[in-house]
Amino acid sequence: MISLTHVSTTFAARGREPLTAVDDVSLEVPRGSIQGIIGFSGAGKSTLLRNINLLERPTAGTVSVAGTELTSLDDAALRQARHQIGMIFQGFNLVNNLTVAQNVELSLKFAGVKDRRERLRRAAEALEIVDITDKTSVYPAQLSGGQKQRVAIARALATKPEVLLCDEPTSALDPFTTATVLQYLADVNREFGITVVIVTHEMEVIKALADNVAVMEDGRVVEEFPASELRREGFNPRTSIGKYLLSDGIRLDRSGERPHESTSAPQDPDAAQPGGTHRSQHTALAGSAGGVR
Amino acid sequence: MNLVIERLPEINQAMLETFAMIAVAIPVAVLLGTPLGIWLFVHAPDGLAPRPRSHAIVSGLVNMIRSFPFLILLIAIIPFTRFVVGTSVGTAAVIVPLTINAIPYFARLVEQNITQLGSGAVEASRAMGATRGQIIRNVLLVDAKPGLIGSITITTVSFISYSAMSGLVGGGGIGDLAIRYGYYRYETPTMIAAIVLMVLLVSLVQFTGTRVARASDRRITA
Repeated sequence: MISLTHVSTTFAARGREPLTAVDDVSLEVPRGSIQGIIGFSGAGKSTLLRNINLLERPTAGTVSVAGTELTSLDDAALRQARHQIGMIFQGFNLVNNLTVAQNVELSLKFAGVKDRRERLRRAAEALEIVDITDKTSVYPAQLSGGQKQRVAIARALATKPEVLLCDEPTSALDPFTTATVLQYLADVNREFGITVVIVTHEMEVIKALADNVAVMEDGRVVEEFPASELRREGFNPRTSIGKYLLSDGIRLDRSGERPHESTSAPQDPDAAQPGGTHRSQHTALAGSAGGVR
Repeated sequence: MNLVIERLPEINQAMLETFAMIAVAIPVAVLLGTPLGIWLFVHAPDGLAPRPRSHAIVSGLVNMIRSFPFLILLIAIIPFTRFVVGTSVGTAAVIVPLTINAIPYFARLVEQNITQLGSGAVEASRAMGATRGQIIRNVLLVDAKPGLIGSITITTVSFISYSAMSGLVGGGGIGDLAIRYGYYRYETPTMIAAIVLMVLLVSLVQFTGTRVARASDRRITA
């Protein structure tokens, strides 16, 4: 369904070293599957996700979605193709001065649905999928975070896309709300066969939702495996993040005997005791994962 | 008091002149300054469609007009004013430089309002396949509306104050009346009456502007 071939994205800023956010990534996402992409902040996973709908145009490589090579399209054709690729974000990105129904209607307006009644009907339909039926005429400020994300999902689904891209969709939500939102994503995938790509740093999210896992580090996909492997006895991921997915979350050293330094290399598979490294990023990551249990 | 009553026809006339200046300058500034402000936002070096070179030129021009003290602009563009309204004295002659000054003033406020919105909803719209025009109309102007109304208020208040300098070319207006009678003729009561009227006018504009802006703002819970 989605096929990335040798995709690289380099940001060139004047007076600064060019930054390679995505470095020669090739990835195949089968139709109807849920692809998880996990990595620390700055690993390039959000840029890779934006490469799929060309919000960020790759500097090298090709991107194909549903058999169309997006990287070869002109602007107008690309906009057309984007109606088939929904996207949700960490910050929800709703229009604050529009009601819930108007926000959902917007994607249909952009997709060229001229008749307003038709738009409102389809918006209500999409909102029904995420069980928002009584708050269609309120403004986003009156909604909780979870409700906002559900509205964003409805907005993305209203045009009946084949692909849903999710950029850290639950990072701003508490664990209980996270579970609710993930359930909707799972339902949408099962009921409509929508291919889902989800980028996150939350281990729990990957474990709960993904069919396949790609681990990103320094712009590269360093490891790929089916999520079912995580439940298999004796599965031994190569990378520290992969190992983390198997861990019980965070484990601290509270004996006070540990010297105050954090030089242990988490990339070194031998050093990476699941749940035991001292990098602050690991702490934040495992902490959010631990809360769900 | 008698003196003020005696001056009522002049005060009346002056208020009408002030209204005329604001009634032309502000709508024209909003009409032309809004697209100019959007243009500055869209074509900024990190904007939706960067055009660094022409942006630098237009932005420089906007800065140039804005850096003129109004009194000097009033004089400096007299030939242009004469070309537009056929005279360099009177109320019409003040309206031209007021408007010329108000356009870039308002454009900068528009640009600032839109820039402050953050890129989230714009990015979502791009992902939905929206064109640049659709994003401007359906997202940016919608979310910037309360801010834009506030900007219209600020511009109106500022230009009521600028209009006081119109006396230099015989433009009249309530501020000019205060200067002519209060300063040159030592008619303090007339000056006070003019000042009170100006304060009332500005308060009314500010009050209305704040009300309308708040009513159109859904970013905070009602």
